[in-house]
Amino acid sequence: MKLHLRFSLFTSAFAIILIATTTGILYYTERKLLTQEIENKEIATIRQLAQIAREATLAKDDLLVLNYLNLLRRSNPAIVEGFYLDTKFTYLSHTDSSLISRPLKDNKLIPLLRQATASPNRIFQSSEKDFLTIVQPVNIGKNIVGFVTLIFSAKEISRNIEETLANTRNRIYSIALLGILLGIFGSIILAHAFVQPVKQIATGAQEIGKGNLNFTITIARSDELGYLANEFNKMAKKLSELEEIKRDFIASVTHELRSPLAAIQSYVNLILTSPEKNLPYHEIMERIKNNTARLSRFINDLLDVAKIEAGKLDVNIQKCNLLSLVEDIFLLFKPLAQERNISLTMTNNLGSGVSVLADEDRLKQVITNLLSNALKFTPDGGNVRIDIEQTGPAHNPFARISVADSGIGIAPENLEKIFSKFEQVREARQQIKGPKGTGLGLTIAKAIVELHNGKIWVESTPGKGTTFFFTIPMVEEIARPAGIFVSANPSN
Amino acid sequence: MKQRILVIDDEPDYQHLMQLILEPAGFEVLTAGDGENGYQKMKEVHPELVILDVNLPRASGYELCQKIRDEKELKNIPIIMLTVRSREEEQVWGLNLGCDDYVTKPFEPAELLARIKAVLRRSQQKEV
Repeated sequence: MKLHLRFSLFTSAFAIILIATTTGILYYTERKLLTQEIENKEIATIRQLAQIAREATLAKDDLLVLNYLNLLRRSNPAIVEGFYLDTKFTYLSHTDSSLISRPLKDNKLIPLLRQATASPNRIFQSSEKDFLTIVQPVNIGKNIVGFVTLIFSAKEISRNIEETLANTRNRIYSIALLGILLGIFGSIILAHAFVQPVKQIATGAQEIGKGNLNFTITIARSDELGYLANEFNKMAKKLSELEEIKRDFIASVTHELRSPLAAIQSYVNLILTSPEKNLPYHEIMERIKNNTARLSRFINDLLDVAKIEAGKLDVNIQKCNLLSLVEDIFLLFKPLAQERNISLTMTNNLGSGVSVLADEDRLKQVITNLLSNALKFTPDGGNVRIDIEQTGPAHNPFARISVADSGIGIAPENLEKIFSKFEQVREARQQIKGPKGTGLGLTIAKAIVELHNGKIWVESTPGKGTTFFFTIPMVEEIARPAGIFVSANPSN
Repeated sequence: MKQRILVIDDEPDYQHLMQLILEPAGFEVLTAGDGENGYQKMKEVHPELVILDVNLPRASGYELCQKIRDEKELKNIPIIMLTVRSREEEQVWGLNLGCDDYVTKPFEPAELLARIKAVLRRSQQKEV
């Protein structure tokens, strides 16, 4: 069953039950009130009758009571019998005038009359199956002089009630019917209002599932459904961002693979088709070599990332001399920095013989990546520095290597993204002159450092520069402060 | 006077290749390494033809092409797009933006020269 229908049925049923209950209670109360009213009227009638009987007794006018009884009987069809008894239970008046001066014919009344003799001001009732009998003593001063009695037909009374109620009942039923119709109508509208956004969200989910990630569900509500729609939109946005990252990655991989290959092919085409043999062959070969190197570097990066993804990047950790390793790379980059008038400096706050536990090639790869990034993002005439420090507790020391540049910096919101796979800050990428990276270098660096139990992090001020830090465990036995280094070999 | 060709490409290899191919054929080769620079140079020297790479830092080749076509004094300079993108719809897109021809990397030097000459011939006919 559809949600819409189920919801409509549920709320309609609820409305019907509510209205039916209310109607029932209303009807019952009305009936009770009506019965009460009729009873009050009966009591008023008998009081009136008692009053008349008293006056008639005082005036010795028996006809007065008789006339009044006949009047009552004509005006109220529920009255079956009415009479006035003296204290000896002889009829002084009776609606059936043939009974006047005769003794009481119905002995069942006697207990009631005896009770009434004791309390002059009270009214006594007895109801049997078909009749309701009301007795009121008539008193002059403190003396009871007789009893007035009215016998009502119970059937007639209830017929009366039903008659009066019939009007009310019809009114109540019409209102209830109208209420139920309104309830059903309201529940259909409510169900629609409830189900419509759910439908919209479902449509949105369908669109997103089909790959239309720019679809937004427009539900301007502040309730749970609005919240759900909003979460859906956020999810779609996140997916679309991922999709974009993937597209960018594929585009840049394609470009990085095709570009050097195309250059090589173009040079080869030139050599093969050039009729004059006066080409600068040596320079061409240099350029072809650079392009093949670039291709192989890139392919190695891709393979590294694939290994990281599969959790199969291996490191061969050995003791190696940190300073000479960093110096090698430093010297390699020096000419490049000089060419662009960048001041490249290095300080070492550890002993020159400090060893670290690392895979030498992988450690070189990390430092090379950080240094080449630093140079890439530093304008001509800027500065780049490498610092080596000790960090961590004395029993578990780490070497901390930092590479600081005076480049464009990284915005705070991009700092976290920078190590994640295939992520490269777009604006930064746009500003790089010359060969661009593929956004894989830092991912690889992070994986390598973490395989060494080290940490890698970055601090940056946009416009001022960026510093990358990483730590690598030192070999404990030679972890001594600089200057107190004791050589194991005295002849050195 | 030699006809001047402006090569806008961020890869030094292609600037070099163009020099090797075009200079022996009697052209003067000017180079620019990004879109911004290329645009400035165009305004300065009004070359007879522009060879424009699509993947450029700062302004992309497509953006530059559109910009040039919107400018009165530059819009008649013929443009040949040069890119590693070889998918057909991308070529159509480039042509729709107003470039005169499309050459994909890697290229045959003879083909490139033939296309350059054809485009130049067409643009001279237009001027006459």
